[in-house]
Amino acid sequence: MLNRRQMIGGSISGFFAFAARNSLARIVDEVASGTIESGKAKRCVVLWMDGGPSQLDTFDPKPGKRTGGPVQAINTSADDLQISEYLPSVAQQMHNLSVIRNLTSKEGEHVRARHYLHTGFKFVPSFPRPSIGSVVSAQMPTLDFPKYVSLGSPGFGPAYMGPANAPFSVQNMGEARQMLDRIKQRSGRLELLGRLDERFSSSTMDKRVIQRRANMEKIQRMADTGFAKALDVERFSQNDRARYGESEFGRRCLVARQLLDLGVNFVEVQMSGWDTHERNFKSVKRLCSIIDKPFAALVQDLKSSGMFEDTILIWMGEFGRTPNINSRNGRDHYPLCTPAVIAGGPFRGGQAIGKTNNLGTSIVGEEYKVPDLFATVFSVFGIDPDQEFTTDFDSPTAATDEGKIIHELFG
Amino acid sequence: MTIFSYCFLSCVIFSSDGSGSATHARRIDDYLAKIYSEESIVANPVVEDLSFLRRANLDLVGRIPTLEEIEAYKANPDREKLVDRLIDSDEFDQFTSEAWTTWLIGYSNAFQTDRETFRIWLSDQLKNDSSFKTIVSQILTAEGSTAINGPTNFLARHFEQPTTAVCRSFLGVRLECAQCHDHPFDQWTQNDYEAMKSFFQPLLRRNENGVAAIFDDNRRRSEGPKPVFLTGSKPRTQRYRQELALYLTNCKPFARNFANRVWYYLMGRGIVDPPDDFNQENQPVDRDLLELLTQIARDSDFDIKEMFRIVCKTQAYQRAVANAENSQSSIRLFAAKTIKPVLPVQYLNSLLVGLERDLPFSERRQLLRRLINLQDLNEDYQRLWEYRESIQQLMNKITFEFQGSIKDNQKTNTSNMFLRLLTRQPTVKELKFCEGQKAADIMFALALSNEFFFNH
Repeated sequence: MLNRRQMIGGSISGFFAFAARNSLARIVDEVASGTIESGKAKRCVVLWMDGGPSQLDTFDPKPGKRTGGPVQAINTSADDLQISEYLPSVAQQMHNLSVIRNLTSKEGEHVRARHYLHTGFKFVPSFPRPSIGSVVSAQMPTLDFPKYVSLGSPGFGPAYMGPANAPFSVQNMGEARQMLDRIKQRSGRLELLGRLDERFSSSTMDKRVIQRRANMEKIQRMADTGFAKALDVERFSQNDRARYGESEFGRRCLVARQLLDLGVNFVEVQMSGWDTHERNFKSVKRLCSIIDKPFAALVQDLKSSGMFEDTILIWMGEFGRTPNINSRNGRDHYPLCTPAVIAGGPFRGGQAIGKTNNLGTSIVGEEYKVPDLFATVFSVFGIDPDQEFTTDFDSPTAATDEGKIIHELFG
Repeated sequence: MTIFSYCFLSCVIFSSDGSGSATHARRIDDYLAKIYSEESIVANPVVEDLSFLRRANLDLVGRIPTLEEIEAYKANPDREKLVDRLIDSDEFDQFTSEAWTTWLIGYSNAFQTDRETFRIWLSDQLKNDSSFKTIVSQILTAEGSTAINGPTNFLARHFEQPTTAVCRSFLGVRLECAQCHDHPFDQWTQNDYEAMKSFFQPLLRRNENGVAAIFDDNRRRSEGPKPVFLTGSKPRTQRYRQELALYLTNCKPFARNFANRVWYYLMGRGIVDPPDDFNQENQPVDRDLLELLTQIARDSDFDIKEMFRIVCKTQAYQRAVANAENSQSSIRLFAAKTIKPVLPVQYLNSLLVGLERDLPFSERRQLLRRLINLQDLNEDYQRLWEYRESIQQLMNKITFEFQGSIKDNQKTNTSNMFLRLLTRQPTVKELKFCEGQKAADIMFALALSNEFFFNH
């Protein structure tokens, strides 16, 4: 429903919601081709559930059915939308979130599936693909700190987007902060380095030497930005720490918020452990109890700070899990139903896109492929899904693998 | 020339006293000189002794020279002798096997393979003077456990696309473009790709208790089109991989690729560059140069060390790096040398030499891991000399802590430090910059400098 504030206020999401009521196809096409500059999102945060999160025990519950296990469904802040009882805080934020229940994939092996859900392309060893983080950050102006940060995993490489769009990987936030502080302490040494290196660096015209010199200078400048502070978990208020919980994932979400606030364009937060081939319900319940509060808090904070208007949030994993419960009370890989929750920017919250049948064994009606998700997200960053890039072996390639924009998400 | 005298001549030229390699080096230089005069190119001068010492050490043993080695060389700066000594050392086998393992397999042990087993095997091959032909044949035909049989690791690692890996590494062509459509730049068609792929029909990879193993399963032969090598040769037996090894190692592109790879590896720039993508849009910068080098490679019977000797003894190898005055053509025609970034292993070993530190093997391995971007573990390294250092990598280097490596109150001997790390004396200006600076700070600055990081 469109309220007056959205129509008159002129906010970005309001614009889209308004446009959606008019010529949806035309407007969305214009977004896709990047002609609507004002609609561009600036930030993205991905909550990556590594291992393959069980969709039936999180966002597509089947209470009372044989495939649903013991999981009950609860009402949410969105009309006609129920999710798993394991995520009560997230349920309170569902009016801001859209769950995609009809996303399908054929990649059931972890390495290949991780690649697919990070790049939108099937894994081909000789054809490296850039991650979504690299593609998005490549569109953004250069900063004095990394534009793409991966918390808790190495992140995925930039391939033909170039090393400047490589992820900055933070496995341990405390260590990373210490490292940045140490760099600041060594600024005197770095000054000396600059002077001693001058002769050599200016005598050669090799791009790589120039690049390295530029990188050195960038690191020196980075030490003076708020980047190190954003990684400092000690600085968070008691209130924040309570709201996000004391888990590593919770802390990462808090750091993500800080980084986004600072101006980092793409943050990926990893949570591992979702590969629940045995004792599925016990594990998923525990995992959900870890992500529930910080997920909700992050959405809440993005909203209250105003960042929600031009920040995209995605919750996903490499595939879903089988409706059939195996002999170890677990669920196995099920890429047929790959879970994703998306929010922010121009996306309309509070809706479920697509549906699965009673038992959750198959998708009913329309289904979307992983490249479609990429096309949709890219479009709100002003990247045409069919935009051409050139690899370093001179092969032209599109930004997505024939992905089509999921119009429903825009309301 | 009769066959007899030709064989005799070959024997003489490829005798092990090293003089034959100098003769071939001169042939290459003479040819290049002819080109330069035709193109009115003025070649850069050869570098000074200490620069050559540093360059040769980095290229052949993977580290900068120690102070003792510098003094010894200054006393007797015989370049050809140095090249021979370095190539004959154990360190050559260690380092070259490490660098070539990176080229062929990368860094990771993905799919339960064992990179180190491959490297050790390759090092042994180098030690025993196995020809490149023999090495590649073994790689193509090996069977068994990757933890025991080194060469199996190549196909085990590239199991999903063996055709691609084999063609890029050993023929220097990107056949895989023809996987989905007829190659845009060359004559390869999808049929060619499928026919090559068929050589690997019987290949299976198995997981034996967490260790990969490869073997041939004869029952799988009937699937797909019959194998045909790119030259048109068809196997006459059922031993597809053996037949592939035969055709591949005997064809002209194999010889050309070997010659080009050695040249690329040492010169920083191939005659065909990039070296893994020979096609109609990417031709050799000079056809006859490549033919000459290929002929030399064939005559040497694909002797790796001999090829290294020959290239390192050319004037081309010794030229000063490109500066602002050099034109693009002089760089492409090797009248000016191309700079190379150092590999992580070269960086680490040079650092240890420069800081006069030693580390046990396991600690070395650990530190080495920190020097490789985590996302690059599964990258391919066909273009070994690409600059891969990310901002994060650079930050790792800046914050390296060597416990007790340099005492803060250590007496500052600037000349000594420049010699140890940069293989040269400091200039007057540099001495001035370093006045009053702590030894630890100067070492740090030198170890992070571009001059240290690049092989020039």
